[in-house]
Amino acid sequence: MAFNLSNFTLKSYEKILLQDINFQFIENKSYFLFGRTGIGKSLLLDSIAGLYKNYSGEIKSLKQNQVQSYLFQKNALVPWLTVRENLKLVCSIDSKIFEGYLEKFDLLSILNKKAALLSGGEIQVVNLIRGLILKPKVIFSDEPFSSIDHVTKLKAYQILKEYLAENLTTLIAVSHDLEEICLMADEVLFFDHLKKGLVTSLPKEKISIKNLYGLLSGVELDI
Amino acid sequence: MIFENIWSIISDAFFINSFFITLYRFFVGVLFSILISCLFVWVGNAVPLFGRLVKIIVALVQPIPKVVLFPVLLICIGMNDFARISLVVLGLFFTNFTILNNAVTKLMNESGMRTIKFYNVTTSKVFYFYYFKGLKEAILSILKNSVGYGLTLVIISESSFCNNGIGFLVWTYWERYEMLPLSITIMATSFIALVLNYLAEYFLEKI
Repeated sequence: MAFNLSNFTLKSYEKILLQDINFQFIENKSYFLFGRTGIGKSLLLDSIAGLYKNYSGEIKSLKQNQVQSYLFQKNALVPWLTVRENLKLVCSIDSKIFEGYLEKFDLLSILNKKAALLSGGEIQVVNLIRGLILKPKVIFSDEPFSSIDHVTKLKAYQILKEYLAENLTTLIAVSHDLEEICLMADEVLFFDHLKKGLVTSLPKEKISIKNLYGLLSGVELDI
Repeated sequence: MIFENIWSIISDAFFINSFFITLYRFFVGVLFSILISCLFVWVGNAVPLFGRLVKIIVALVQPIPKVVLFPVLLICIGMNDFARISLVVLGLFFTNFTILNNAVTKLMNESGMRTIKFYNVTTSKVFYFYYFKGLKEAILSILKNSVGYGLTLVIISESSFCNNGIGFLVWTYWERYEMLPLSITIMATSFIALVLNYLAEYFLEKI
């Protein structure tokens, strides 16, 4: 087990977003938090990652001091630093590994460019690579590929998927991209804004665009 | 004839030396005002009560023309360079503090802080990569803004109990009604201010 949520209630400015959630995240699996915008998925992810504290209940991380990385949705890099400096800020790993990854995306030329001068897609690629070279055992991901073109996105999925399989890593992600969820998820946790909680958990064999769309539009599913 | 006079004024060793002395006082004053502002901003963020007190004091003292404090500085510190540099530090501190404090507050609310918090970035890296590099723009803006007021303060401080510097030259020429050297000194001062301004702007564009 990687994380255990018990009686978890999430608040934002005293408004309750999610209430009384009990769930166990098992190691080496890819979980996707799914639901409509503004329901509190990103805050739930931040809470598990230790970046948000306005909640009650308990989040237990069963393996302490595990290497973790976070693929942020936006502003992942410090704008006034170059790509290389952004890497140095969080780790002291040999930049050759980083350059190798950049080469896979044909982006080696951006290594000494300031983050402020990069496109949204380039920032997200660097964000992904930085997240992987730390060799994490848990990856938190909040729509990290929203600005990437389709071809690069497929490459990013493939690299992330290979990493997860090779390194037995747990992924807890937030996404609205149905294709991404279908490709990457082992389990989808659907949150409903009216019920303020976890409504259903969709296993891998039931994950399809049709079913995900059905969940969003409130259609009863045969699951 | 007039060009010969101009040349003899600007090539005079004392004239050139006076400019360097004024620039030295200016840069040391600006440097210390930035360092002291940084210290106050840093302590103010670490100890919120101190930060609130400093903000109140800055708001209270900022409107007072700092030039009127020069005689007080001369009495308290002595008739020396330290008093002159202190006037520059005091004159620039309030604006510098406000600019730096706003810049630091902005940096602390930047989303980059999430990265720092999540990855437990070491304090030395936070200071160097995040604060020092992040504040470069604010520091260059301070330098640019300091050129006018800072140089004015140095020149005023050199007008009394001083025997060198641009201020000393200006007041000496004025007392003797030597209009040509006075005009040249003022024009040369303006030219230096222009160069400093362009340099600051150049580096601001570069970062």
